Amino acid sequence: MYTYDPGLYLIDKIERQEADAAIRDGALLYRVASLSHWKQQHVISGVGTMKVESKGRFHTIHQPASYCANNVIVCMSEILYHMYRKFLKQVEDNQPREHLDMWTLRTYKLAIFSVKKIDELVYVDSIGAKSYDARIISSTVVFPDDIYGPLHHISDRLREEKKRGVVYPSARHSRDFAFAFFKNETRKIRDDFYEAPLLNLQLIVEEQNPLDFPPQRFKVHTDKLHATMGYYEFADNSEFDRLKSEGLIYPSGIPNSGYIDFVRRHYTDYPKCAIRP
Amino acid sequence: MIESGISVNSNTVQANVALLEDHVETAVSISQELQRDGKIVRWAKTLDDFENIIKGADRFDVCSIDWDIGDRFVGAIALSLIKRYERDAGKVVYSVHVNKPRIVNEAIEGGADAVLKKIGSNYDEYRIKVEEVARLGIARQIFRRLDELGFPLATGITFDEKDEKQLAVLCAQARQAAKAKALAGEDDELIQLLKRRGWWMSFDVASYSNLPMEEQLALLFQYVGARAGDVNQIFQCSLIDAQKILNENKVSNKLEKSADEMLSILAYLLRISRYEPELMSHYWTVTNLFDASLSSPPWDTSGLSAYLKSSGVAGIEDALHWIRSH
Repeated sequence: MYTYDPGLYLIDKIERQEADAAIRDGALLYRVASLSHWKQQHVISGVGTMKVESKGRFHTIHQPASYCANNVIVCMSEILYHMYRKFLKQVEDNQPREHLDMWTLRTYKLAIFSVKKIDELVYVDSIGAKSYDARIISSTVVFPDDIYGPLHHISDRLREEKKRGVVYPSARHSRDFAFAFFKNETRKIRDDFYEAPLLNLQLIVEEQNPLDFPPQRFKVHTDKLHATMGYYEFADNSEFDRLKSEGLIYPSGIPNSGYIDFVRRHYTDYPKCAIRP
Repeated sequence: MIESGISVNSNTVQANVALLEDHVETAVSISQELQRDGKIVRWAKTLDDFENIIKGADRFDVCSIDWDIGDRFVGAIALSLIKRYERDAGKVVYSVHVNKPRIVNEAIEGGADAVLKKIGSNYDEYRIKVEEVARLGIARQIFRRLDELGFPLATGITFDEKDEKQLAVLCAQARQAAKAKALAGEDDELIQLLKRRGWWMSFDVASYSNLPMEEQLALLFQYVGARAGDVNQIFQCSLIDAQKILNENKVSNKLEKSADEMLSILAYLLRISRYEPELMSHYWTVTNLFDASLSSPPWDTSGLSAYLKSSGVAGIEDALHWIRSH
């Protein structure tokens, strides 16, 4: 009934002039969610960020925001990067081995859902977005470090102007778009379809051979963590194949497991070049 | 019964079976029967294929062989191959020829644990025997692994895998050794063996994730060994309400927020336990795990369980705040 349709995301991605953006009725979105909070009532409620005293790209402390994407690799690479940074932070805090280890391998659900029309979004990688904050240029938007000043400023401005959220290129993957919704958009989820396959995400050792499956388990105290690449695996092959055959996975050519970068790269043959081997 | 509710006489879980059978219909029927019983079956039609399977990377808990393959009596050779490549595996001879005493003797001398006559298309007896022999095969592997790890059952005693008392000792020692390995963050073969033997809880992530919130919460409370008397202190609620939570009942509106937060705390314990429910009770009570930490959690000196029981709902919020920030 629903399949991935790139025409349903109204974003001025070629000219990058127009700031106004929208998602059309029936568009697919993806979000990596926890094993206990992956259902319809959780994924774009915006509640998650309010529970944590930490900042994200388009939210500050106690601001509601829910993040999702229109590309599965964007979701996975964002979470892998998050796991990587969390791991490093725990090392800095001298946390015990168990607590570090926890960040190297996580099991999630990939929520796949379709939404009704969501308008009043702002494409922050557009010339038009500069009118909200002159510091918003293409490099700011994909700035790899967690220095979010200009992005928080534009986020605050847009919230004041009652915008529903932003569309932006991911800092962790160079294709397609991520979305941050500022309000609870749960009611926009179409209730006639919802899928959530299990997904394992794993950080890998620096010298991991991408031809070897599955990757060796990272040893906290002796291995060097790979700083740009991680591993994903959908737990149920047949379920993943079904979702692909139904046109619910984008990019459609991705295998059920593989190594992906969590830094932006230029790909000549996509998604083939984005996944190793 | 041992502490996690697992019995020494538990059934095996996804035991691996190598099957040598040249009659296609019989092989398909046998495989289906065993798969229904939770076994994972690899089938070889010829002796050469069988050898390739058992000398490969996969390890087998049971090898089931037909004595007669392609009109040749190969049973003795097959048993010698099993001895060479899968010496610990349980060995079943399943053949129409076992009414001949010479063949039965040859099979037993060759190391067969069970010799069974093929009778029509009723595989009940065969299925039961394969399960028995799978238990033997896995017990032998556990015994060997324990010995390799320096935990011999008793020096100078030959392990009798059919002796219930020895099995109970084996189970207890193996669980203790496996727990020590798991807590050290090591992926030891012993843990997989115990899971296949049914002596170690496996976490079924797919079924867990599809449970309603209240069932997830009750299950994780069960994993840490919490009782109503603990839960009522944590939630500052009545014992009746605490029992309802443990019975997977929907919580009252008043408790909903705390229950959701408690689920996130227990899910953290599951992650720190590397998704091994057997380890959760350790992390539920352990103290000073974070004593070298520059940012330790509020429960570290007393243990999470004691902390939550003494600080109630406010403690839930503080504990979860720390978890989410780290």
